[in-house]
Amino acid sequence: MLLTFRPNVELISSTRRYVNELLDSVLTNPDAASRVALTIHELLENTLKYSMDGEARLDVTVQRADGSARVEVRASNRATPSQLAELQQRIDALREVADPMGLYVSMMVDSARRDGSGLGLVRIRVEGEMDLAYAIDGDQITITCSTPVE
Amino acid sequence: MQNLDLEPLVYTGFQLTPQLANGQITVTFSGNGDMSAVETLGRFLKRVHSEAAKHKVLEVAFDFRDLYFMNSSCFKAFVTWIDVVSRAEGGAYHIRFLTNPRLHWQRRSLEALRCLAPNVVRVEALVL
Repeated sequence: MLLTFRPNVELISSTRRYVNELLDSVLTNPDAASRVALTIHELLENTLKYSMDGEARLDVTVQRADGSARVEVRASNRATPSQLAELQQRIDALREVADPMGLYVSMMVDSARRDGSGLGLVRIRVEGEMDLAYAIDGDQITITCSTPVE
Repeated sequence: MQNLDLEPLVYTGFQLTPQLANGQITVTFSGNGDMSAVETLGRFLKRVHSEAAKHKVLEVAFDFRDLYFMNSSCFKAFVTWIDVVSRAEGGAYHIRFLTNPRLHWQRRSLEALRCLAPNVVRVEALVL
């Protein structure tokens, strides 16, 4: 499923609900559909915060092979150099960590004492149980979140 | 009997209903906690903390059974509030979340909040 759109608050929630219902009918485990829905919501809110032009592209695929399945969610948007650097740093930290829940708790403690959340990506990593990757092409960033689902 | 100085909040798609009974404050949530709910929720939780201190309650319960989703900014409002409660002298009060097992995100998100302050936060799954 591929969507190219200008997300706003209402559209993000309705996209999450739509994908959740769609995946509920495709996947056998409703918890997996819920993890993907949370990932989509947080990624789209990220694009709202970090997009230069307000446009986002969301691609959700379910891949089946040898009796197992994997969901991949890719979100792309244009961002400024400082936004790209910030995203890069956050995702690298999440990819390299040995104890994701430990990092999550320490990020929550930091977050409690400053403005802004900064918890969207770690939530995807820990609660969504997603593997994270990214690619940068010029001012375009694509964040890829993937997880086994069955 | 004293009443809460805390009005219910009703917005499109998001509602908070507080009540005081048996020495406990319970706040019932419904709808979607998304970006449009963040500021309101942050202010509301500050007032819950003031009311909890005023009425000397032992527990504040949040009934999430009809809360369809909560984004990371609303989640952060709880993180901030739990941080304040857990650092309060004398331990202040306990926080209990009542969850809907059919809304799978709740178990994961609230387990994270429990890990933040395991001596303060309890999570209970209730079937509707």
